[in-house]
Amino acid sequence: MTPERPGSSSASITLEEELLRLLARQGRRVPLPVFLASCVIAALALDKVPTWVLAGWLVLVAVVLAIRWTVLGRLPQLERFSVRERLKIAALLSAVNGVTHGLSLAFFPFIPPFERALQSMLLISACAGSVATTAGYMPIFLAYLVPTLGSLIVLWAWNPGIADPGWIEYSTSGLMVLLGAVFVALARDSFRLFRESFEIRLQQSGLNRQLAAALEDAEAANRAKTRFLAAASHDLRQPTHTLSIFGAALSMRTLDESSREIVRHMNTAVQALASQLDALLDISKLDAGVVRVNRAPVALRGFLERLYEELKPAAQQKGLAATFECPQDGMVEIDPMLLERILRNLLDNAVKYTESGEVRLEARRQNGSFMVSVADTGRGIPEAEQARVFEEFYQLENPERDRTRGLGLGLAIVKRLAHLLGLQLEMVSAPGEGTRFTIAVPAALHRLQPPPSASLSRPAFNSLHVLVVDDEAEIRLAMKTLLEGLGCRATLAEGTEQALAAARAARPDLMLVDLRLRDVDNGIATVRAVREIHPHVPALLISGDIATERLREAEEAGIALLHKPVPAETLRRAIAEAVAQ
Amino acid sequence: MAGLRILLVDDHTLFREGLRHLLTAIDERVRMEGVPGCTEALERLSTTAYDLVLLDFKMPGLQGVEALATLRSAAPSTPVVVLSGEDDARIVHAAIECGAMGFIPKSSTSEVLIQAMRLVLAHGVYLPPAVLESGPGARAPLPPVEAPGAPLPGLTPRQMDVLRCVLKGKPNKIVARELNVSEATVKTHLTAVFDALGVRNRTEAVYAAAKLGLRIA
Repeated sequence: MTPERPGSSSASITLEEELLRLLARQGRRVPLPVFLASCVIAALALDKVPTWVLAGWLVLVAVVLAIRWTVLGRLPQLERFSVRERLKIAALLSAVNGVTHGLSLAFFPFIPPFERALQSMLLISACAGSVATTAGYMPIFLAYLVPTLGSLIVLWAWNPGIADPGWIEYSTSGLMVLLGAVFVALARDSFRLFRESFEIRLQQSGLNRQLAAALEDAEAANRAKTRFLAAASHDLRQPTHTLSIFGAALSMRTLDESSREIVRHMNTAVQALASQLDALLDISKLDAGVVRVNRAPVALRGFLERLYEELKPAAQQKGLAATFECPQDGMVEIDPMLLERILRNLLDNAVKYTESGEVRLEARRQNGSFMVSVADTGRGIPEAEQARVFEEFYQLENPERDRTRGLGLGLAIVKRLAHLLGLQLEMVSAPGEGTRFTIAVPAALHRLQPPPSASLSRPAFNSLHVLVVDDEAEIRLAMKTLLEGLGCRATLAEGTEQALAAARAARPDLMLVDLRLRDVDNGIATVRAVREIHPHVPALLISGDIATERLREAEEAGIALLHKPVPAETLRRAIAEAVAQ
Repeated sequence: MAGLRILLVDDHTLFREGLRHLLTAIDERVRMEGVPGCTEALERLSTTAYDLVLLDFKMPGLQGVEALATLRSAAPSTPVVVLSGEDDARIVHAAIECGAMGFIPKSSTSEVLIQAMRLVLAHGVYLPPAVLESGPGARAPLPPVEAPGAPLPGLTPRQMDVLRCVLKGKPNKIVARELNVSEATVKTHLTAVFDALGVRNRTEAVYAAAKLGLRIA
């Protein structure tokens, strides 16, 4: 229990302060039942003891309960007293309460045995209850227990007003002593439990804070990684682009034979450099987990055909046959760029490692997927090497590490991409028999071939109410036509005033506002004004103005900005995005 | 006949020099001016008329689609072709959507760069072949075309003019002004043109033009 200065924040609350809060809560719960019990006790002695005495006692009980109710309730806030002092006040109140209730035993000699038993029961229940209401905190608990139970014990042993007390009275007194001991043990346990639960909670909130900090660190590191890779991608590639362009310029000039050959080799080298750089950057991005997967339905045949068109000349150059087979209409659900990357790497490898025969690209439907495979009649991969080919920088039969044969990252990238896309990749190979890679691509769930005649007049929105604000009448009308073509309902306004009037009449689903309006009026002001009546209405600003202050204003206002001229498709998409948020 | 007047916007000085060499090697009449960024580009555009703007996408300051949109607003009659280190199909699509007339990946081989520049200088639409297959309207059948620059069958010369202007990225208002017709007429012509190409909008028309080898002038 670390004593801390009063008034510390709830993050570093102490056990004592927690105890005070519990006492406050219980202090408010207890008065009514206790008062009712006291009334019963008073009623028991009604004919035996003068009414004014009983009434006076009840009033005393009520007053003490009321004082306890108020003071205990306020104790957690009374910070000008130290915590220790406040606990002493609570103990004092407990003692006063105990004495008040114990006073009821003054009626004891005058009431018959049955009533005495009843009164004892009520007092003992009150003692049992105080184990909970004090959380078993010894000073406060004992302050109540001693006056009440103590008096009970004494009176049952002494028995004033009873002619001949027998073994019942004495054994009752004895039992009450035992009961007292039991209550004290219960109280001790109860407080231990209270303290332990408090300490666990403290520990947990400490751990939570650490976890939150660790999470923030991890996210910051991730962002830093992405920024670094993006910068590296750009900066590392710049010189290679420049080399390409100068190589191109040089190759256009009239050169003698050897110069032309030199230029050719330089261009080849630059290309090799560029593609290896790309491979390294790709692996880095994949490892950093910054590659995003965008799945979409893709027509398989057209997609593979394009790869086949690339394969043909490369194969022809080496005197290889290139074959292609794919079902006529098949739709798959995949990220086309990433799948293309996988297949291109596999096809490049196939051509690279095949000296004669053919390279085959085929797809075949199997249950809910299409099995796309790249097969070659190359030299094959011995079983011992089959696991290793997917390793970074590992190449079969390139002991001189001849760099024109790549870095050996192709299959490493393929493996990571397949994993990222959640696709099964299978390899079957044997020396002298060639190699076959098969990848299972999930079929798209529904065919999404839009008919070529589908036009933008297909309504994209269902009566979306758009408030158009522009100071030029022609533009307002043109926008209205466009929006109605998209299935929206348009309300027109010239400036902020009219926009507010329209917004009051009916809440718009979206505002489409020109940035520059008449005189000093401007689009941002309009959006803000309408949002005072209808908060959270999505808004799009349109601007023909190229000044960067306008862009910054829009950015600061947190409203998306579209530049004139806005193509219809861009507008449709911007509206869809704005409304979806 | 004077050669094309080209404005190259690219922050990499050496690259600008290299491209100048390449362009003059392809056509020695070409006059290319290079600026390092959008701010300088806007200044030049406000005082000089160019036949073409070549815009690098990755630059410090205003870049990417925002830079493209800004330049388009400043000079809506001047076509812009984007140069970029990235050849991501999505980026290409975004550029065309925003009004670019072509896209040349810097990562292309020297031979491809020469081809692409040649095509652009001959008023063609260049898009990286990889992207053509996955572009919008990729699956629609294309109309047959006799020769590059020849009008599409079924379209009047007027309609071809409208198509060429729109491919260059000119907004309807400016097309109407240049051809001396009303905007409504422009829109009607466009509907016919898009139908003939089997496309729904300008972006798809650009992709179709690239595939067909249409000439813009």
